[in-house]
Amino acid sequence: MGDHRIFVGTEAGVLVYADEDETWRLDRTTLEGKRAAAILPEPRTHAIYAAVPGDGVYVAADGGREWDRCFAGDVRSLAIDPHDPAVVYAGTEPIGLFRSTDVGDHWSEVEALQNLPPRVREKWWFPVYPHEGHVLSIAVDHQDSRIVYLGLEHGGIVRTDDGGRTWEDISDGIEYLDIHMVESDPSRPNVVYAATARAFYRSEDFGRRWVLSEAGLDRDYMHDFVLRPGERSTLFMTTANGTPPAWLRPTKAEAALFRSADGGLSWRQLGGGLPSSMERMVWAVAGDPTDDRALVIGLGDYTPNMPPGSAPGGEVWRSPDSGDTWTRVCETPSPIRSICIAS
Amino acid sequence: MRDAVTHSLDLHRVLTVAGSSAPGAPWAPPRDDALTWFKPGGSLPSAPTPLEFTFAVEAFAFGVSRALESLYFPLYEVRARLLDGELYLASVPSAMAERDLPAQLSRMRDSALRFTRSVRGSWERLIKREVAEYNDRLAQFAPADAGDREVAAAILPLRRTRANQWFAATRAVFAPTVMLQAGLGPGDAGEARAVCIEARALIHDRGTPLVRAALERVGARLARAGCIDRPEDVDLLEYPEVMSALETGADARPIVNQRKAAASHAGAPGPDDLGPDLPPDAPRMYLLRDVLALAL
Repeated sequence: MGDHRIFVGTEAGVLVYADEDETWRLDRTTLEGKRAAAILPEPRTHAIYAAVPGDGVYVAADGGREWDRCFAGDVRSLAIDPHDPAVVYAGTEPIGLFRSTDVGDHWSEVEALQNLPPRVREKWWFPVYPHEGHVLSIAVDHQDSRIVYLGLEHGGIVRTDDGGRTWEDISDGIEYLDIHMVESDPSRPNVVYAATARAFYRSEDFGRRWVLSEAGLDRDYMHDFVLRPGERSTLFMTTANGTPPAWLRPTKAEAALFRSADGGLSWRQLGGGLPSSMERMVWAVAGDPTDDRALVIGLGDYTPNMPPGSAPGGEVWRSPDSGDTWTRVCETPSPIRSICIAS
Repeated sequence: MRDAVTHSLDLHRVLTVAGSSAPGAPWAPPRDDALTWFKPGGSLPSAPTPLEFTFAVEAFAFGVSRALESLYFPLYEVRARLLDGELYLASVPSAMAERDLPAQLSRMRDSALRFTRSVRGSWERLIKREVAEYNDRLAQFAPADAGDREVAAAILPLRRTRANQWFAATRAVFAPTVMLQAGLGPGDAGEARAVCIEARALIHDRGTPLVRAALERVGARLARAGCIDRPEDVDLLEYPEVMSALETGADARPIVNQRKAAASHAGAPGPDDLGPDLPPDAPRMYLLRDVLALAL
């Protein structure tokens, strides 16, 4: 374990937990006051990136001690090219994509995304004022870096096959275009997965046709998933019952974690210490780059639904055995929105 | 509460038109000819001009559709169509909603709680200001010193502005009021109906003339540029054609003349409903006519 760290992105800063003989203690708080919507470690360069909405992209080259803002903008998502750790993508609101080819030092807009026809761009919208859509997920294909998928909240899924020179809307088959997560399968590049605010979909033809794939799921709000590649990849997905406004009910999010051991074809809810219905939303799940059986999840209260005077918070849970058993690592003073494990 | 939600729906009926897909196949929304169309009445024009249809009606359909789907109403969208020049609407079924209708309707109740607890409260706190702000944007559209390209760039957001106005009021006021009238929420339906009157005043009494004035300014600009003969001819252009004329200065008079000739051959009024018969308890119609009656 040694220099392992759990980086927890909350609505008020990034908390770094250090592993001491399998006991996790708070090592430090960084990016204080900032809402880290995404945290992304790059193990090859040991850099860590954080996306802060309404602010920009921050990068730390020293295990998360000193952060520099390397990009200014309303950033909602991040991705790193699996074939070139120097290439970093940032997705924004309004919907836009920016790319750096030098570890975040310089950025340029992938302008051709805006060339999609009006009938496509008219779907880019969001139900919360000011009603602008944003890029919530970026997936660079594991075999061919020229293929990039964007999950748009709201707006569907778009893809480029030529490194961003041209784009195509590939949302056919998806009924509710609130896309939370899109990812291609490292083992089978033709297989792509999409978690939306109303369903989970699978495509076997690079996203051209999406089919519902929900056997065993009893929730409808899919948020984040992590993928462990294999002959039949294993997926771990965070879910809830209904969209956040519905969580005003007494049972709140009714969140649950599901695992698919057959590449997203069927699902089973995970227990092993996790409550069967969690009031807090499981906003984030991440694997351990050095231990393919270890997982962490980050939970958070949905702040707009909190009664006046109450203090919203979050919690971290960890599983050492592919989700079979779970223990709570810590309570956090602010709701968690992102999580990762890095050295 | 679930019983109250579902009492008027036959949950055991096999639904065959919620989408065009077989199990395991991609879903696709039903085509126009598979839908049941009705005349909306109310404040929407019964025989809209091409510009009214592609601007005002489409903004209405976008805003209302997004509002109802965000509240888990069991439909995919409200679609608008012109048939022999007359306006019809259809409710497009949702395969996702109908796969587990009791769960959908339970989520509908839960997701509307923030509004149904007090329609007046959310209106005063947030929504009234937002709806009024959209009127301000409509009023500020196309200042006299703006160039044609500037106006062309501003006119796409103009339709979105009107759509967002419909969205905000439908999601927070009209739909929750209908739900309260049906017993689907803890708030006061009478108080909510009073808020509907205020919302309608902002959208109809204030907003509709502002939309009209904005489009008249566009018509005057196109007439000055020689794209059309008279400002009012702009009504015979579709919204994308207006944008194109502003951007390129293209001569739109042939299109206008063609549509004037077609309009002179208008036939007798069509039937009130068109398409396959739809049971009154079809999930896609659940409370929809009540929402439209309040909004329009």
